[in-house]
Amino acid sequence: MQRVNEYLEIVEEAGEKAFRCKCGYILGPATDNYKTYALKCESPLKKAGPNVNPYKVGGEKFVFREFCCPGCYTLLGTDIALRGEPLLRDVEL
Amino acid sequence: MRTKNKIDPVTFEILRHRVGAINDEGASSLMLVSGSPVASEVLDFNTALLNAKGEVIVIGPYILEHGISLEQIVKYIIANYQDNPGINEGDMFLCNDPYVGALHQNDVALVAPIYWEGELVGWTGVAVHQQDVGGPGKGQVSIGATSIFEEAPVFPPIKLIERGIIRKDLEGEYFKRSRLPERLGLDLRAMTASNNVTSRRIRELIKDRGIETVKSTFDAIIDYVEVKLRSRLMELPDGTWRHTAYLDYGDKIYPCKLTMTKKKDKLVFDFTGTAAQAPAVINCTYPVLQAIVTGVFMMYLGYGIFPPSSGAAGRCLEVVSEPGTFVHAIWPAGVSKATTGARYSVIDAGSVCLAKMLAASDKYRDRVMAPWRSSSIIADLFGIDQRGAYFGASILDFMAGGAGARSYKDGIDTGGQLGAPAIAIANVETHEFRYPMLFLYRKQERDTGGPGKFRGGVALGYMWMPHDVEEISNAVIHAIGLQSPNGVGIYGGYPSSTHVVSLKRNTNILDIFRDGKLPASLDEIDGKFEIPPQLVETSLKKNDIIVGLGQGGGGYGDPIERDARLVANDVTNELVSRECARDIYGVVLDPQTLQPDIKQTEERRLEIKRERAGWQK
Ligand SMILES: [Zn+2]
Repeated sequence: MQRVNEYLEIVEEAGEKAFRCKCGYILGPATDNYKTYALKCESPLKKAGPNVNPYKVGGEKFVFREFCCPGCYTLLGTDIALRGEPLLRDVEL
Repeated sequence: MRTKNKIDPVTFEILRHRVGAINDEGASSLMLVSGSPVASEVLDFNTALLNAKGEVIVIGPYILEHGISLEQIVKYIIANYQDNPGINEGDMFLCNDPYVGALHQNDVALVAPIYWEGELVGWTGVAVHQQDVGGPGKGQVSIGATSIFEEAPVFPPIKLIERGIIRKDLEGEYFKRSRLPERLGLDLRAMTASNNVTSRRIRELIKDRGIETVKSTFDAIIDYVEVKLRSRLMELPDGTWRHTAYLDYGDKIYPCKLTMTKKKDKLVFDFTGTAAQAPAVINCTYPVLQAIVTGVFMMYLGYGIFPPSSGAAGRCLEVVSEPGTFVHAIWPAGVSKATTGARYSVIDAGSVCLAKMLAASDKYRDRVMAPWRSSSIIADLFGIDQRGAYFGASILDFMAGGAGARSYKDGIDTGGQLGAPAIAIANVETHEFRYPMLFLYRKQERDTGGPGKFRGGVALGYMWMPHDVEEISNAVIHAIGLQSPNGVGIYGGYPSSTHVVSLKRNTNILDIFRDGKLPASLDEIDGKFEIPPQLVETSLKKNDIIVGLGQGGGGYGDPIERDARLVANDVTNELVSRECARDIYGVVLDPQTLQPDIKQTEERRLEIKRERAGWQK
């Protein structure tokens, strides 16, 4: 078992390495981006808080992305990204 | 401790601390002699002691990159100046060339070789931010510049002090360009004093311990710190981490793309894919990129290792970048706002990758820290002050941003800046005494720290106006981090606030004062509301009011896992609003007692989970 972070670890599952949530849910292969297998929500920046570009300086180029575990609905990660930008694969172990 | 240099361990222990103390004394000398606001109050400077090859043995605790970058400058002098103009005892070299190593043109370095009986034993140096070194733009930024030729002047290392004597011709050349030559003069004398004090103390040490011992100690310190850092790296898992930080400038967004790969005891920071350079202003050069990466690495992995040796840290790192990108600008791209432009993107991207590497380790998980405020709002002010004299000021209060949340506790509220453990902001009274301005408030701002199981530190907000003058004729306001938060959250943590700058012109503030009231927000004041462009040169009239809201630190972990009592404390302390408590943290408070309503909180948190269950794969 390899710790990935607060919520995820990499385990051997049927001979393949996989991302597993602390709740036991297997998200998907560790050779992939875990975000692909998480539940996803993309929102305007204002969802991240009332003081996140409140006057929309520069328009609304950015989005707020949230990823949660389909097993326990724990929020595993959040990203600030340009609208339409592909999901960032943030870890490879 | 085992290194290839043979010094007995007791001597080594004494001397590594002595060398650190000497470098600190050089910094103290600068502050005491200067009296300039930047050097004495904001502490936007640093000192370093280097060995004869130009490797940094120790940097001070101020802005790390100021000390780290002296290595590049000294190595340039060693490589290029041996014969002409020569390097001799008593010489000091002044440099603000970002393509050599200065962070941007306003960061002026003065470095000096240290000799003992005719032998070069090391170097000492200091770099201090200067409010104005000349050029078309007042202060540090030339708005609209299309190359470095339209920014502040650049000088590669020049031998300003020759065998102990300041060359009047070169000093005149240096001062003449600036709008604030007296300030340059104060700091030049202070930098000279700093180098003199460090050189003298090192020579006393040599007299006491012998030349061979001191020289060996210099090298042994760097080797020792390197061994310590590499052994830390060896304990961490190998892997690759990525983060993209965004710099908002003009109409464009500049993504800074970092792929950080750790293998055994080495880290590679690869910035391939980062946005092309801007014509001027926001970029940084490659030597500066190296210094920034070294600094953020030291912040995450150098803790507890004394002395902080950037020479050692640099040996553990490789920095890959593409020439022509905004983190690796090529001549003649301008870089006048590098320290509050590209630098912040690099710190931000580096922080996230390093934090995530630590998070993969059972041993180092407690060292995980979300990124800090990594952006800026600066007001460079010029005009006639309340005493009728020309003045220049840099209002750097944004530096009191929030610290990133840790994996086991909240980030420090108004904690400052990552990579600058000892910086400060000037007191309100100091600003008001020196400059024609009056503060209506300066406070920790609600809902600026990134929510999370552990919350990012909140940021500073402030409101001020011109005072005792009809106007401040030139206010150069330049900000980044307005469009997206840099203190992003990690592991479900939410991001910090963005910076927000707003103005109200021609207000009724004097009427409000006459009624004996002190407004606590812009909403309580009548006037013409304005959101200024990100970079603007404007004038501020006597009843105009400017408000800044800072960036906090990123949050750590799922906000609905935060202890409801901590959320209640934050609401009581006005660090989190009741709306955010409910919407983001899922904590419902009793409106009378402001204590958590346990049942309603459980229901609200279940409701948030049900919302998430409806998200798509
Ligand atoms: Zn789960």
